[in-house]
Amino acid sequence: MRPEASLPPVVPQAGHFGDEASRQDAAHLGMWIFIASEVMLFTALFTAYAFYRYAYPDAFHQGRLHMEVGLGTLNTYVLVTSSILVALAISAVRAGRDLRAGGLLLGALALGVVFLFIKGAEYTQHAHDGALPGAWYDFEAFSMPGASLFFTLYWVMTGVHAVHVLVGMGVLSTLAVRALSGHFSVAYHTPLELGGMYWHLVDIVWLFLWPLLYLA
Amino acid sequence: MAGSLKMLGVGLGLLVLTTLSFALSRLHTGTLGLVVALVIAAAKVGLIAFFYMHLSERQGGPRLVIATAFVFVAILMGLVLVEAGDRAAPTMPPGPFQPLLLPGRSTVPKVAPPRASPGEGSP
Repeated sequence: MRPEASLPPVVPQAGHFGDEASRQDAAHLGMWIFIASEVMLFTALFTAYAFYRYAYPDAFHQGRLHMEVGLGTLNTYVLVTSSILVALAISAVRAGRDLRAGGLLLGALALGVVFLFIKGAEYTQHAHDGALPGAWYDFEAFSMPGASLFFTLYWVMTGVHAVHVLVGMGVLSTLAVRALSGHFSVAYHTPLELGGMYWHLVDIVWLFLWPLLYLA
Repeated sequence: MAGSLKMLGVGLGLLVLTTLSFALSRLHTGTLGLVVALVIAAAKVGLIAFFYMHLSERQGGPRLVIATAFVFVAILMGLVLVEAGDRAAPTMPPGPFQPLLLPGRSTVPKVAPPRASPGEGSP
């Protein structure tokens, strides 16, 4: 096979769409289908949580007494604020202010780092207590039936969420660089909208994890 | 500028709802507290999806996709909970177990649990 024959037939801008509006429509629809598949991924975990909470209501209700509620709540404010910054970045690009948008995206990225640091501090505390997932659970202070399930779900749910935070930080840093180098304009900023939607999804998942694991 | 103000207004709403959720959780109202916290979370998700994720600007396809996803969520979670509620309690998996005798940790050889003596009560 000749090397040039294996080149993918990709053009930088899909020309078959006719105009930019239908291109944007297709991009947004695709992003929503991706988000729906992410919703299904987390639904499996939330369903497991619902089932085990039904089976062990006392353990799951008391679980929050062994959580760092202050740190979890602080993390909620951190993620919500970073979502606000991303939304403001899109407004800035739409107003033609690229530098401001880049700065706002870097701010959202920094809050993502703060979130992971706080989460890491929590994980360290739980590991120190012995509140580890599955067969490693060894937490004397919370040793009722179902307690290990609470912490197993806590580690899996927040762990999968933390991986999404990491991916989202990669997306935000790419978008910040592109915004600062003037790739986006009032007429074209679809990647910024779609990447921002991913970051909002990360926020949304945490908005359900927080009350379930820390509050109620 | 108007766009930024709208986004800031929505953000302020999100922060207020977060504070409300935290304040209500201090009241320790049990199951009702859980329901209220989830309703507040759903309200915040609605604000984020509609304004921050551009659903307000996108009719048709995107709204249909995400609405379908939430119908599937309701079917999965609803059926699992209905089925769980219909079970006899001892069939609930997998516990209870002691914190130091979890699956995989036990060093004693596994033996079958003693069987209940047959006879009275069995058909």
